[in-house]
Amino acid sequence: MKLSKEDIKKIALLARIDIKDEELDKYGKDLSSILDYVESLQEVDTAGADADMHITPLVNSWREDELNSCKEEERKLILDNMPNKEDGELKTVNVFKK
Amino acid sequence: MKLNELTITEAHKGLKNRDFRAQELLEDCFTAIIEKDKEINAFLSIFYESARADAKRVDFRIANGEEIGPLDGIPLAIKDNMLIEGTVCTSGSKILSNYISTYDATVIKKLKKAGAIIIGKTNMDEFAMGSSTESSAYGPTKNPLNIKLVPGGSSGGSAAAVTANMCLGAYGSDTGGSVRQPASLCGIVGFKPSYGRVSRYGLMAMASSLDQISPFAKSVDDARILYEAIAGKDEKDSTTIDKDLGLDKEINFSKLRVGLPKEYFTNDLDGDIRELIDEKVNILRGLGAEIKEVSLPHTKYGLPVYYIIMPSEVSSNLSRFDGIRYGYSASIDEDVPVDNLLDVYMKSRSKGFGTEVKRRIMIGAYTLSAGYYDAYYKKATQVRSIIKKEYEDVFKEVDCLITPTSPSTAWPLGEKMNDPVKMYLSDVYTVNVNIAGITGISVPAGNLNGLPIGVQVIGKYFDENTVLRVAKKLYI
Repeated sequence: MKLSKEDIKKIALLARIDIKDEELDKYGKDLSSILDYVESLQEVDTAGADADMHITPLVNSWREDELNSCKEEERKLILDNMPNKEDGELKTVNVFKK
Repeated sequence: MKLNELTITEAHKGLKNRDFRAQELLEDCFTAIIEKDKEINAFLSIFYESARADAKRVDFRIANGEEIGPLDGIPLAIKDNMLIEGTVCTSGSKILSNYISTYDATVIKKLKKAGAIIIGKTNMDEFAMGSSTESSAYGPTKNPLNIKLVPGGSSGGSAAAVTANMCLGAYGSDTGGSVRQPASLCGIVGFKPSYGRVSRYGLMAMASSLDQISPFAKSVDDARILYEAIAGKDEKDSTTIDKDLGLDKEINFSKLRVGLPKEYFTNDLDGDIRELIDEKVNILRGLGAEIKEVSLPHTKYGLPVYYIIMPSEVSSNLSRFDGIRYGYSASIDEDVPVDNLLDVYMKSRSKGFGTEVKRRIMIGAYTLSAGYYDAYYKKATQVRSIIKKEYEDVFKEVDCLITPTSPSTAWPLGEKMNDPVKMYLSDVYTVNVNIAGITGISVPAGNLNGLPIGVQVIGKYFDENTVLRVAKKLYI
């Protein structure tokens, strides 16, 4: 498996990571060697093997759907972590072009 | 002997008998940190003030004649991917250098209630992605036994803190071996309980179907105490299970069946490691246990399965780091121009994440993408279920397995940093325990060329009792 520069660009966009042109070769090489390493799985006969496996024997885990508001201190901590805010509300850059 | 060199069990006795105070015990730990941590770099933050206040409260309770529990007044360290309300939590990443935890993880709540003294947060590979603690954005942790060597990883800070007696015990997270492997390389005990035993609420998710909070300790008894304190069902983690821990049941060693999986003892294994493990197996043989060779034919596919499932879950879990709600944001960085929201995502993540994290997110984005999902992710989950079934079958024949923990002793800093696959191979003996969701412990097996190496005891799902009791015979 050899990933091209175009492949890496596409994967980086899917991953929402900006990769500089000069890094494309290095990531191409690294990712290709990892994919080569996992390639051996293709030789395993998986006919009939469960693809929806879960580690625990739990089927469903229910709880009451109760409304719990957070403490004022918690709210403050959450707001303080926001990089960009205005009047206690989260602020982002434009989603649409003006 | 300095108080910080005691085990938890010994320190508890001393506190109870009023031989010394919790504050003295704590100060000895702080002294060790001040003397050694500049070089070792085990801690990312240290809570001098709150720890001293907590220790004082425990002393007050003891002075008042109150009964104390096994962790009251015991100084512990926490890997920096578990949340402690109101304190910085970085997960070893630049993207969270200013992040303040908004609540206590369930394990932290339980530890506080148990009276444990949380002394600080420990260094780790960025978002727990690594096997040497070198991918931390805050510099590598060094192995206290030889500072030219790695401590293992990803929970290398916690392992080093216990090894250097900077605390009496510590917690890490084990996703593919991140507690057992550093325990092996540092010569201490690392114990991964079965998946579902310990709540992951408040642990920063790396690969949710594999992650498990796990203790480091100086003895098997201490590991048990640290495990009991955090185990149990939690309504905030729907994968936890309400099931008795069953740790008080004696086992009859003359009826114990011990398996040596032949796939773990191939020619690749250093002959001297084999010899050390044989010595440990002989202890069990001497107690009357039946020792037999067993086979787990799909063992070699465990690591490839891991390197598909883990990055797939990573790419999904780490999508929360978007530069919008918390952490580093390109939108307020004057050096980084952004035009639109996509730019904020792309540039925040590019600048905030390190190389290994980017590699794994991209691998995951690829293995989950249209056209490749069946060949990679689906295939890997199928092989995973085959591996899990294989362990279930082998545990009909034997009660536990004995294997090496790591293929080598600690290696020099930098040696594997340019070759990701070589680094990944250091988890080859630990990863299948996570793949199958079962339990495993690493205890020191002895030394090779002056460096420790661990032996691993693997048990069936929820049978922590057998694993702990067998490990205790191997490491006294």
